[in-house]
Amino acid sequence: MWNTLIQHLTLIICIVPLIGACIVLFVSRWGRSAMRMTVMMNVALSCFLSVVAVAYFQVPAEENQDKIQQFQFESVIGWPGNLSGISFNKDLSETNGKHVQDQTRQNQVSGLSSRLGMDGIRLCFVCLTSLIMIPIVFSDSVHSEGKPEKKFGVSFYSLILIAESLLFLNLTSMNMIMYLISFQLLILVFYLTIGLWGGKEKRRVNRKYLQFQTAGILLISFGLILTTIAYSGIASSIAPEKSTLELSLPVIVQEIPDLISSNLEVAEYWQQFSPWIFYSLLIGFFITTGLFPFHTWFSTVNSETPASVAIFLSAISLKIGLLGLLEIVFPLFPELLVSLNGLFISLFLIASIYTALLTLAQDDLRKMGTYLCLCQLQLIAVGIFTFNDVARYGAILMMIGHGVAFSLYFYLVSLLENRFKTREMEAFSGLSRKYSTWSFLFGMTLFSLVGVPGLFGFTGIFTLLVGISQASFLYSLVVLFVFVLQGWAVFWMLQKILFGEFREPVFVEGSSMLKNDHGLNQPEILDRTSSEQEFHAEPKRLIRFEFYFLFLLVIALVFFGIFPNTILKTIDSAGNSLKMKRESHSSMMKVVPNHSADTPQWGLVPRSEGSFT
Amino acid sequence: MNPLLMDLSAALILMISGFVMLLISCPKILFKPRSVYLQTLEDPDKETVSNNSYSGMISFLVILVAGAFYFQSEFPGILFENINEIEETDFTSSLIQTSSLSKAVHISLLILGSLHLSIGIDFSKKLKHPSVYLAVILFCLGSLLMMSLVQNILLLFFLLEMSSLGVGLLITFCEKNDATKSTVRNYWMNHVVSMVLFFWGTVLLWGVGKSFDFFRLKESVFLLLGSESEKVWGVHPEYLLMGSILFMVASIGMKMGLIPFQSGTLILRSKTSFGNMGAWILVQFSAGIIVLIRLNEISFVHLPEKIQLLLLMISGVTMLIPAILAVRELEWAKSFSYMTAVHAGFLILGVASGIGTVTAVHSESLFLASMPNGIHSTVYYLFVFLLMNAGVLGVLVALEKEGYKIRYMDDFRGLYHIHPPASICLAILLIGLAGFPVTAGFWGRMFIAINSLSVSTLGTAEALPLFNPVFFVLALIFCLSSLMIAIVYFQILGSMFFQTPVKKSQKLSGQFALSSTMFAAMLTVGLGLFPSALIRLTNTNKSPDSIQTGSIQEKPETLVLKEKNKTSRGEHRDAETVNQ
Repeated sequence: MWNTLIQHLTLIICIVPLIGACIVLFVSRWGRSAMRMTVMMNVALSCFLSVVAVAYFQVPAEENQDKIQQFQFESVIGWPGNLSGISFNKDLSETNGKHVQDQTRQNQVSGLSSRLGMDGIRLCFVCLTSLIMIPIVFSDSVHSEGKPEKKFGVSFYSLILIAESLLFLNLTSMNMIMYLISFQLLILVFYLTIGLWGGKEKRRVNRKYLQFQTAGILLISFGLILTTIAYSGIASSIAPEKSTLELSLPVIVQEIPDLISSNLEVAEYWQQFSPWIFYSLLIGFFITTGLFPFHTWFSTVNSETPASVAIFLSAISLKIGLLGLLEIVFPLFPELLVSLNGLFISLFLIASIYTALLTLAQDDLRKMGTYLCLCQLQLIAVGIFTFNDVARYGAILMMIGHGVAFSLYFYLVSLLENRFKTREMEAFSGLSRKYSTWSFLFGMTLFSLVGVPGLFGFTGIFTLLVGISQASFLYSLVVLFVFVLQGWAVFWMLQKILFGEFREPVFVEGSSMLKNDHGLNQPEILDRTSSEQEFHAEPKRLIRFEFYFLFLLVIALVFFGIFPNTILKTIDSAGNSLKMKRESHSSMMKVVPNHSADTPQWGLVPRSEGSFT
Repeated sequence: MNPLLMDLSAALILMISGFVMLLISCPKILFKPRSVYLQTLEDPDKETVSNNSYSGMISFLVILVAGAFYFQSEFPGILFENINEIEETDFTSSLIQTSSLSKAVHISLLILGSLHLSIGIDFSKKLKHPSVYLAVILFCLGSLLMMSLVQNILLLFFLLEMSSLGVGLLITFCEKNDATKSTVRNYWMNHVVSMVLFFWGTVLLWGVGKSFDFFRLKESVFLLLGSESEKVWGVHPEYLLMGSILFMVASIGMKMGLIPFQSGTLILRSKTSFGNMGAWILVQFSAGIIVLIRLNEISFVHLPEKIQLLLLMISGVTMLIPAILAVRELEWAKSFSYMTAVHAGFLILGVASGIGTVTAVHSESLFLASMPNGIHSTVYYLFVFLLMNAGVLGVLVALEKEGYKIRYMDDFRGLYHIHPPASICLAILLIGLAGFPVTAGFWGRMFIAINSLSVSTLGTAEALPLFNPVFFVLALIFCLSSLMIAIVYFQILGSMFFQTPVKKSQKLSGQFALSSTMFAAMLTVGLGLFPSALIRLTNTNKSPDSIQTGSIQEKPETLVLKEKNKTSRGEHRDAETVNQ
């Protein structure tokens, strides 16, 4: 029984939130507290399953790395109406993909079925998704009295659980169509969430979100469909009797470079398609990730979304695009990327300086976090595009650490926003005197984000810097400068709102509510230092019992800051998908006459570094 | 299991669902005819209502009887005798394909016809001639069914014009809007022009083949094109064939509203009331696509590259220009009309990617043989699009009946708070039209996209295919226009759900129209979850067993064509290699 459960763990992780959503619909008759309790139990179960996955995940010793499957806990799910008569999947037993082991061969299926599984990187992101659900569930309370707000009902709880399930499905799915379906449904769910619980500008914001995300997903769809068709064309020319549409992304990604390097005709053929696929996938993933120059939607959307969507977007959704770049675009188009990476890195560095300066200029806490998030995303992209293994490890570490920290950040800011109806920095001062727990969590979050040693952020930032400096010293200097700018912005903010004389905005009944730039009602700000008696009389807390749950996230920040090796080993087990395919890349350079092995005009020379661990 | 039996089961399920829907939606008529009659005596104004309901019932009965005839055997009734004869001849793969497509088209049309009849009952209640509407729908439906079966080009022309005539009658006698006069005049003018164009196309085709019979035409056109010296009326037969196709495509373009042939059709369509608009789209789209598929059998296969280019150009502009206009448009009816044109562009892209599949790509590539090809994808998408379209128009007819005036996009605001079930159904249909999962629209678009990209990437099994960037550009336009129309659909969705209502909650009385909308929404989601039901219907000739064992016999000409294609491809490849 237990073994079966472990065997199908990925599937169970994907399904549990969906079941939770159904239960929420059922218990809605017993009120909000019952629904909230159900969601919390479901989130706890997801966290538990993630812990089980971590415990049972086989991290290989270095010498046994090839013997262990990259993808573990594999299960196959079929589309409800299996497309019998249409054989989408290639006969898996005939594929040469290294990860297709004996166990997988038993799972041959016809029709549209998807294999779900987790490698080291996906496992980390699954755990991250489970973890960030904690602040998302608590984002439904308005005055932090521990009770859910009226406006959040059954639809809210169902939608966040469905979003969680779709994220799991997207992260673990190896099938192209399932990947696209989960991606599109995720856009739909966020569209509804923003539309129902967004700020005053929700209409405009929603339209912008939809335009950008749909454009991104359509380009990704175009690229992926073309990739699968081109692969099937190549496969049918080599083995005509086995030719059906192959939809398994890992198989395609692993086999295309091998086929190209072994056959001149195939390489020429691939060269015809590769620019089309490359640019559509690249632009698609850039848009969905919010990378420069397609970053504008994120800054607009994130400031007006409900806290739950802001957490989802900043902590995990944007990373899906980065993962797509890392796992699909990089292995398929190394030569095109090498020829363009200098251009991209320069763009990202300029964008990171620009967004860091914008972070400094903000007076709105949510916007400040948004620009900080954007800035770090550009830096992560720099790490990915440097073609350096260490920098890539750093980028992945940073993605995870960044996800945990930003989920906490946006939750904590939403608490202030909900309580005081404003998020202007000017309105707050000396909050640590009254709201010590909130201040502690806020401080830890920001310390991690700017890379204070001993916290998760530090490991990511340090590894990234080491990797980038190995690739180019100049780039590392610029990145360092950006981190200094970020640190400046963050510490300036911390000093302003946590320390100094205590001041908080107060809503006076009957007083006129002012509208700020963001359309929020801004109450009259009173100087509370004059009323010491009132200050000591009833010290209200911003965070109550949820502190114990949120503390889990802080523990994660500290634990992985002190023991980064635990997570590095897991990431390292993904091995092949993470490391550059230098052998196939160099052989491809030899085969394809148009791309000589000379140093490209725009690009860096890929440097061969070993595994970081 | 016998594929025909499977088709039958799938189709029966659909028919039973339709029947159940009918039972649920019209208990008043079924069980209280006497009281309705008495009410009519008391209130003479109600007379039209009772007549209308009885007409609706009779129409449904006719459809059910037709369906019962159709399903009682492999090839049903008198109408299908030709097909039985044809099947005994040596024309194999293409004809089997025709028959399987006919089945798919028939079942789709029966379902869509039932939906439109249901909508029509509510729509035609306050018309002067309510039963005309329903009768015309039945008449057009019959014409369309026949069009997919006849083996004579002249008869095809006649039936096409009959269906157009039906739409004209609707606009002339069953129009509620004020701008009727000019709309009617413009429609009839368009109708005459398109009729002349198609007639000239038919004449030219006769000139090439010296026959109106499909199979003789196919044979003689092939032989004539093969001989270099022979000329018809002093012109090379290839030019004549191309001319005839141009005339016919232009005629269909005028009917469907394809750019550049639409000549005001899109604006005209937006000026009609929602019930008529639905019937117009159903009849003209189905007729246009059926004619294109039939022409693919005769003439397209002989000039695949030129026809493909022509259709791709039409498809490209039809997808792009109306999509831009739809995004900029504030008036809902116009925007909706433009968006239907965009969907027509998708369908033409599907047809273009299906050209030549009968002879060249389809029979050679096992990959393509294992999934729905361009033509099958087009039939699939035609059905799901018309289904969703009917559902959307059903809600609008029901709203119109309650006195709502849906003129601008903003008129949908807060609809969810006024009519939750109707707006949820409408939301599902709009999401489907936007091409999002898990709806039938997603699969339809996916199949068309896969096919249009496959055509240029998959050639023969022996050699790697040639690269055709035109399809790539078209696929990108496909993505762009999908994005633009998705924005418009989601704008309406946003208005319905996220804005405050202008009216208080009230019950809609248009139960027939609403029930058809609900059925359409359920079927949209159902086909999104179980897309195999309809695909298998359109794909019965290509069961995996028959493909693997090579049971599809090939006609000698087909083989010759294949050889010819291979040779030309090989030459083309060699030329490219030399250039490189």
